[in-house]
Amino acid sequence: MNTDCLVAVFDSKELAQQAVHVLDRGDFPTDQVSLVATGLPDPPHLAEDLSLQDDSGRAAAIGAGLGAIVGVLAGIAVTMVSGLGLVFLAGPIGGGLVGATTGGFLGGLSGWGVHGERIRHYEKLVKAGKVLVIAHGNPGELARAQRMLGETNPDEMHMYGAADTEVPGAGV
Amino acid sequence: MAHDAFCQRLQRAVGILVSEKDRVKERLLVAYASQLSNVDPARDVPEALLGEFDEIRYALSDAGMPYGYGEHAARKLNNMTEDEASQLARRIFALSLRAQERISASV
Repeated sequence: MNTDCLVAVFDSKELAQQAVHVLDRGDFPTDQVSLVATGLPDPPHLAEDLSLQDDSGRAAAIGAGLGAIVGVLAGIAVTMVSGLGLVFLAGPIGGGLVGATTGGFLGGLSGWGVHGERIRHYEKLVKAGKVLVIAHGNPGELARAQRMLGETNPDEMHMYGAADTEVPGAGV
Repeated sequence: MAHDAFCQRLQRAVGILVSEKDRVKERLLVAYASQLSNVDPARDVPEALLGEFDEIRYALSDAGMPYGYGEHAARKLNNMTEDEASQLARRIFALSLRAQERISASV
């Protein structure tokens, strides 16, 4: 399994959705794409739906918050972060949620080579309302993703390798 | 990427321009970022089409160009009028047709 990843930061959910759409149309495997967002409209009764594990209510609520992304990315998890509210994790990063509870809500990024200081940086950005689009894959796939996402003008973008090092010059 | 792959990229870009429902600027961004940004002009584009492709590319993104201002497609499109964006879309259609004609003529 490839553990390199590319993290792009966007100012809004709409811009991030557009970036995911670009990756999808560019044939980047969407099961290798994740999106992290908060500050979405809090659908009525979502907290109750989650606690009751009411899948239909949960799916409808998530759809209301993330729109078409629901149909593109593989799986969605929602977590309640103290002092922040609901955080949506769409795509494979949602699968790392349980293991991430001790390392903050983005602790799952460590499995893709993002080190602790950068994870905290991204958590701060998400708390400030930014939206993350994360692609993981082999270096060739990520170079293509970087080229495509670069055109969508993210606030910042960095590539990380399995050796837990930031790729020099990969930022925007 | 061979010339026929370039042709396919153009066709897919045209497909995005005609099939999606967003504003033309948004469609252009998706078409450029997902398809045309992956074209290597020196390797992929037939010489007869290179000038037109370079002009379209420069109008949409000069980030990778040595004589550009480092502006990516999202920023360039944001500064463009709807008419300018529509004109660019038409140029991509026309270039796609020319590329297809070249492929057809060579078989």
